[in-house]
Formats: sequence, C-alpha cells, structure tokens
Amino acid sequence: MIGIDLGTTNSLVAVFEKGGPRILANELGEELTPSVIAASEDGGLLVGRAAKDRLILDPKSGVACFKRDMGTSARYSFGGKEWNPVTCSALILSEMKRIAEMNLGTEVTHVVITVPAYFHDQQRQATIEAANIAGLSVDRIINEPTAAALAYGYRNPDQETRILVFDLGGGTFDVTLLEIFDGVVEVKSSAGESRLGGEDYTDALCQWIEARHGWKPEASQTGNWRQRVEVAKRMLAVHEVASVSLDQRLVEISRNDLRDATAALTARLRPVVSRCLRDGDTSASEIDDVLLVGGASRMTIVQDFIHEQLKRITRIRIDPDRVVALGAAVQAGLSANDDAVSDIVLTDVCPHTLGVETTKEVGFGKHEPGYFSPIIDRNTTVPASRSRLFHTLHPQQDRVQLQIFQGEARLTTENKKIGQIQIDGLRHQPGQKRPGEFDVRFTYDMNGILEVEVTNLSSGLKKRLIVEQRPGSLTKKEIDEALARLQPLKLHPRDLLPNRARLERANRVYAELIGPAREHLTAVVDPFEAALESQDPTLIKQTAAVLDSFLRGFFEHEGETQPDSDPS
Amino acid sequence: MFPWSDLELDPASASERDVKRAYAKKLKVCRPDQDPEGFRKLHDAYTAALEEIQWGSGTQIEDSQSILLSNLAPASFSQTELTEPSAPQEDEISLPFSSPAIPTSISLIEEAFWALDAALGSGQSGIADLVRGVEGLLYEHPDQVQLWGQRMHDLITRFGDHPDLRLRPEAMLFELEHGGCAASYAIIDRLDRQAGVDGLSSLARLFISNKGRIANQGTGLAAAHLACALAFWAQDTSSAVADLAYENLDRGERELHMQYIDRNAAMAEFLQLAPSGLKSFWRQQLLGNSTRESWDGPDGQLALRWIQSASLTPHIYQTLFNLIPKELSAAFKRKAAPPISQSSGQGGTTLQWEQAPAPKPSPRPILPQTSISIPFRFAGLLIFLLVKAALLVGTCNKSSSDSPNLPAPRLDLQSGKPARSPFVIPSTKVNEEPVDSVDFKDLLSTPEGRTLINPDPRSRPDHPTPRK
Repeated sequence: MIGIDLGTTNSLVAVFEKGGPRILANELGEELTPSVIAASEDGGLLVGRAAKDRLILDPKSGVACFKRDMGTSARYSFGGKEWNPVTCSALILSEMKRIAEMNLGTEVTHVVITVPAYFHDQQRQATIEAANIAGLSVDRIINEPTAAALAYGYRNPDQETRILVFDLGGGTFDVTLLEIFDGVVEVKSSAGESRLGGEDYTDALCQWIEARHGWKPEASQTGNWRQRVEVAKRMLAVHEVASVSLDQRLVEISRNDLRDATAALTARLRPVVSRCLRDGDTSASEIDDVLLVGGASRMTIVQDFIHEQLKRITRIRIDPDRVVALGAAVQAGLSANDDAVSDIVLTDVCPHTLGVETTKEVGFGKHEPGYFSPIIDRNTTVPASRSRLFHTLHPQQDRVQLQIFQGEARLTTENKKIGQIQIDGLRHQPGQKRPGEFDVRFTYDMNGILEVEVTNLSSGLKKRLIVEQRPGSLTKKEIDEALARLQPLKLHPRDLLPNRARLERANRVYAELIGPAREHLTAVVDPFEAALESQDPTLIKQTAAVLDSFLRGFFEHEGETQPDSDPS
Repeated sequence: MFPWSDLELDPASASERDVKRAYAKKLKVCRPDQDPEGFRKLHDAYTAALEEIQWGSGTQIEDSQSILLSNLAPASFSQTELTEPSAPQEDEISLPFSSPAIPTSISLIEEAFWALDAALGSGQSGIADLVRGVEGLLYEHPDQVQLWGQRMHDLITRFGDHPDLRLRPEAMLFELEHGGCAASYAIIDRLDRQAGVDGLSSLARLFISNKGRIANQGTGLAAAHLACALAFWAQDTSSAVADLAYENLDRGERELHMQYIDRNAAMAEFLQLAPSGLKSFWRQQLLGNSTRESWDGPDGQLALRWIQSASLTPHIYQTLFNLIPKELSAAFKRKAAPPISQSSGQGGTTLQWEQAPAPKPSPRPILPQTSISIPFRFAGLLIFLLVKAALLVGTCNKSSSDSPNLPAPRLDLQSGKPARSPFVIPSTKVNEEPVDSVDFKDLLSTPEGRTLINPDPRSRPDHPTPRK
C-alpha cells in the first residue's frame, strides 16, 4: 500500500518499508511531480514536468492548480477535449501509480491519499472518484496536517507533545492543533483558507513588480515571466536579495519588497491561527512545537509571522515539501499493519460546522426562514454522530424540504449547501404521540463523509440522505466507462517520459533565447530528435547528454536550480 | 459511574495524565475506524473526565478566560525587529511566551486611571486630556488590554454621562483586536441605556468595516450586545452585526446570544403598540439599570395599565413576567394569548421551525436526548457563563438581563445517545447532472506506443487560472 500526496503544485508518492517511509522517484530521479496536465503541440498528452514546461510556454495548452477546483463543476478545454478537475486528478494519480509500480516492481492497487484538512464533503468525494478512475482503491483519506504530524511523531508516539501544524502550500492554507500522547495522535482543532497559498504570493509579487516598474509582459511571455518571479520568490527564502530579468535588464527584489507586496495575504493568516487556537482551547504558550508544511512556508515572511504571533523560532526539521507524503506512507504502513510501525491511533475532527436551515419566530408572530441551525459543530472529534429535534411550522404541514448546509455563518445564504432531503407524512393526526416532529441525525465518518438520517417521530419511518445536488461529480455510468478506458491505457511509455521532458524543456528555452543562441540550441536538439526517430539507444543517450548539458548551462545562467527542488 | 468507570480510573486520585493514558489504552481496542459507537462513548467519557478534573482544580475558568480574552500578540508588523541573538536558533530553543507581567506597565495604567477617576469624581475640567492619555497607554501596552478594559469599563459605568468620557473609534478597535472587550462593551451599554441610536448605528458600521481585524471572541460578546441594542431600538434583526457576533462567539454561547437578540427584536415590535415614551422605561427595566424607575412612578403605572390591556403571545410573556411586580404577575399570566391559531396549512411548504424556548401550542417538557454527561456539561456551561459575566462586568451592574430565564436545556449541543440504527453504511449516491468528460475513446495507442489526441484548433480553453 502506498501513500500519495496529491498537491496543488506538486504530487508525491511514498511507501512504508524497512521501518520507515520512503518517497519514490520517477525515471528522472525526481520525487516531486508537478500537478500539471497539458497537450503538446503534436497532440500528445503530457503529465508532470513536461506538462509544466509546456504550460509555461503556452498557458492555454493545459491546466495547473486544478486541485482548487475540486468539488466544483469547473471545466477546462485543451487539446481539443473537455476536462474537469476529477479527470485531471485521475491522470496525476495514475502517473503516481505508475511511478510506484516501477519502483516496487509489483502492481499497486491500494492507496492512502491526503487532502487539505479544510476540504469539504464534495471535495473529498471528488478525490475518491479520481482515485477510482485511476484504478486505485482508497483505503483512507487523511488530512494533510495529520499526515505531517504522523511523519513527525510516529517514531516517538508516547511522548506527550502539543504541536501546531502550519501548512502553507501552493494553493491552500491550513492550521491544525494536535496532541500526541501514548500512541494517540489527536487533532484538537483545525482552521484554514482553501484559496490562499504560495501561488497567490507569486501573483502578488508579479503584480507588485509590474506596478513598480510600469511594465507588463507580452501575452506570449506571461508563463515565462511568472516562472522567473516564482524562482526569485524562492531565492528570497535563502538570500536577502534576488534578481529578475525584465526587458533585458536585471531588477533586484529584496525580502522587504516581498513583504510589502504580500502584506494583505499575510494579514489573512492571523485570524486563521487565532480561530484554531481558540477552538482548541489552547494558548500560544501551551504549544510545544510548530511544524512547517508546504513549500511556501519556507518564506522568511512565514518564519517572522510565527515568531511574532506564537513567540517561537521555528526550524525546518522535515522537508516541508515531502513531509505530507511521508506521513501518508506512515498511515499506509499503519493500515497494512506493518510490524515496524508501533501502533498509533489517529483521531481527527471535522473542520466545518454542519447543520440545516430553519425558520425562527421573530417578533410578534412573524416567521423568517434562512437561519442556520448547527447540528455538528466544527472541530468535533470524528466519527461523530449528533441529532436534533425539529418540527413543522403548521399542524397541517405535511412535507419538509430539509436543506443541509456547511459553514460558520448565521444565515444560510452565506453557507454552503451540500444537499437536501425531503420528509413526508408530518401532518398532525389525532392520537399521535409526537405530531409533526422529526429527528435529524448527522453522522460524520472518518473519511469526512456525511450521512444524514431523518426519522419521523410520529410514524417511526426513517429516511437516509440521497444527495440531490453535487456539482462536479460523475455519474456511476461515467465513472465505470472512464475506468474501463483508462485501464489499458499507457499514457507514458517508460522510455518516453525523460525524452518528452527534455523536448518540452528545450521548447521552452527556445522561446527565451534569441539569435545565435537559438541556432546553437537547434544544433543540439535536432540530432536528439533524429536519434529518437532511429530508436538507437546509444545514440539517444549521447545526444541526450549533450542536450542536457546545454540546458543545464542555460538554467544556471538564469539562476534557476533544478526546477522542482527548492533551494534549501 | 460515568465517566470514571468507562476509563477504569479512580476519580479521587486520577490526574489529567492518568486520564489521557487510560483513554489511549482503551483507544487501541476501540478504534474509531473499526468501532465508531464504542469510540464515541469512549471519547465522551474522556472529555467528561478531563472537564471534571479541570473544574475541580479551578484551572478551567482561568484558562477559558485567558483563551476567551485571546493572548495572541498584536498584529502590527512594524515591530518586526528580531532582537534576540542568533544563538537560540542553533539550539532549537523556542522562546517562552509567558513572560511575567512587567510591573511598570501595570502601575502606569493603574495610576492613570486613578487620576482620571479622581478628576471625574471631583468634577474637574481637563478630562479630555486625561482620557487621551489613558488611550495612549493602551496603545503602548497592548498586553495589558484586560486590565485597561476593566478599569475603563468601571469608569464608564459610573460616570457614563460625562460628555468628555468617550473613546475614539480607533481605541475601541484596538481593544477588540487585542482580545479585550470590556470597554467597548461599556460604551455600547451606555449608548443602549441612553437610546443613542445614531451612536449605535455608527458603531455597527465601524465594526462591520473592520471585521477582519477584530475577529476575536471579545468582539463576539460586544457585537452581540450591540446587536441586541440595535434590535431593540432600531428594530434591525437581520443585521450584519448579528452575523459578526455569531462568527466570533464560542459555539457554546452563540445560540444564547442569538436568542437574546431575537427577544429584543420581539420586545421592540411588541412595544410599538405601547404608549409612546414608554420605550425607554421598558429598556431600563430590561437592562436592570439600578437607577431605573420603580413601578410606582407615573411611567410604571402607565406601563402596567397598558400591559393589562394588551394581548400577549407566550413568547412575550416569557420575557416580561419576572419584571412585573410579583403580585401582578398572576393576572398578567392570564392575559397571555391562547396558542397560535391553526393556519390554513398549505402542504409542501418548505419551512420548518426549530423548537423555540417559548411554550408551544401543545406544551410538553422538552427532554434533552442525551446521556448523563450533558446536564453536567450544561451546568458547567451555565456556571462558566455566569462567572464570566461577573468577571467581565465587574461588581455592581448586571449584564444584559433582558432574557431573564435562560432557556431550558433543550439545546442538544451534543447527543451522546447512540443511534437507534446500526452505524449507517453509505448509500449509493446518484447524480443526474451530465458531464462532458474526456472521451477516452479518442486516446488511442499507435503502434509506437505514443498517444494521440485529435487536436482541435478552434478550442480555446477557459483556463481557470486562480491568479486574478
């Protein structure tokens, strides 16, 4: 059984073996696979690094960050086809499956997948669907901060500690408070923002630079430009100053510039931390350790923020990019009852308040609908089951349309509707014991999926929820069809991936160069392509080596290290 | 005996650590993914045991209050200079947060308030300057926001009518931002008693436009009080202020406060029928102002006569009955309206009605559907609220007592009773919505093992970049 971290920016796969978790690399030796899908110029389908390069060159040829759209009915079209977040995720997952199988030499069918703690019901369902399409059976969905805590504490699960996991990833921000003691990893509370991450910081920096210098990139160059800014942002985690090339000149950006450019984003971090601590009945001084997760948490802004708000200096102990995947592997080991990992029991909480819409008596005999009545409060330990009694407004009322909402606001218009269920037979009859009353029970399971059961108390009839509205999900028929089609599909024949990556990279570099440099590149790429055609392995290897050294030279010049690892 | 028998511990000698250890041990057997029912019982026992221990040692009140009055550091980034030496970074020592209160700031604040108190008491001039000075102290010593708030609250309550004793909006926001609320609460209270509707409305606007900044529990309490006042005076029930309160209140209390707000709105509407000029009188009664007029005065008699002639719903009766002099309440009770008349029920209305605390048409005691732990917990909540209210408000004045009787324990905050049916298995979820998915038929494998997708030049995608 493997663990997969399906991230907004990058995905990883790991396995638990020989007493520890280990991340598995692809043929390029890379452990991080960009979560990007794109269509290449000749109509092929690209996944991962190659897709990312392609996307930089032509932002309309593919899609990245589709994790943010999980659970919605978003659609993308490229390569002449229509995609949705679930099918895109399925492709990434099938790639991770392939990498795992390549490394382990056996078929892989069961997986533990991580999702942000803040993911709601629909987003989790969508993730499970994507896995099914990719031919994987999901043993467990665990929350990313819990996975990080596992990676951190699985070796000493008896030691009593309170840790705060601060997860600023590519697209989401989660803060989770956990307590570890006697082999129990207990989540006490969690809070987050599902649309705040490193990508937003890069965007803000782009805008800031453009405004400061009164400049905008050309349409064809936006991808490359953004990539340069992204690199500069990462450099600022280790250097005081970074430079970015702008119209043939180099422009310097300091850490203070980054801070100014992103002050509004950092201000959004504070209320999240505050709520997490409050819900968990813990003060900043009671925290023993802060665990940083997510590449964006490398920014010095984050370190400063934590120092000010929580009065502590953090050190990065486990690679923030990898810690979640490692934790997923630990859970995989636990699920598979691997003897090497001592027994740890995880308890988690539901991150959102769940309830129904009710009508209140307001004023003098007036009734107003649209109020939210919570049934399960946020940060209740799961699995949880709570019920509440309701009754009809008028004795003659026979039917109730129970609307189910999720959120923290007082009025349902500001919360998120996740389903509805209808109950009949509520009209008052003479001689009934409890006329017009019904009990609504919410049960929230370990994977964060909600069940609703309504019981008509006068008749004793029960009804379980049949969800009537779930945007973005596929019908069972469609899932089966997609499953059938994807199974025999070989998207990436092994020998193709590294070469595909090389070509896409070469294409991207070609766009950045002008004049003689371009000719030089062509002189190096052409023999490589010819070698591929001939399928002569030695020739391919030779020409690839020449191409590689050219590309390496280019990136060193640009100040960009190996694109998928971070300077640290 | 719950919860100790579930954990197999002796209540007399068990410490928090013992409880945790016992819970962990049992958890290995009663795992949440394998035995959800058992786990729920175990977890309820665990939290109940912890609560009992914390109540016993008295730490919970302080802890809750300190959490309540949030101790996160101020948000100003202007103080970013890291003055600590670099040595701690190598040793991985995290800085201790609980530094003992610096004596100088406390004594500074106390002295300033003494001076202001004396000046107000003796009717001196120059109050405005002293108030500015005191505000300045707050900005300089945000960690003493609680103390500052208490003192300010005290002064505002005692000298509320002094024209110079006012706080600037920025000071109120600062207090709320740093976890205090006592002074802001006092300001709102004063406006409430003086029927300063304009003041209340502008405060409401101030809170709403700064709601991100002041997201704290103290804000929840202050906003709830503001919403009550607005509901009463301006009959504004669905206001954004109530939303703000809801978002910031502890989940255990928010229902309570929402009910207060509703009752105020109900009262306001009811009093529209009253003779004019009585609204203030009723407000004083409701708020429990110690200087309120007695029922023997002209307003009081007018109010009584009007009540006896008005028709009341049970809802209103509930709110008013213990404000009326005892000897009249029996007669008053008879005046409470008969049950709400049956309407011409339209089947299929989409409304449902949550149980209200007022007696329903067919009254019946509403039993909580809970296990034993709940009454205990509720009592705990009740005590905690009362203590907190007392601590917050200080000695004399009662806090908003416009809801004289707290609702019967019908708030099913948590239902520990096991489900009647076995743990439900997910039912098949059917979705009707058609979806354009990738047509995988087109993903063909060619002999070389490469994949082709028919490129369609006319499709220009809707690239959903999150970068807006």
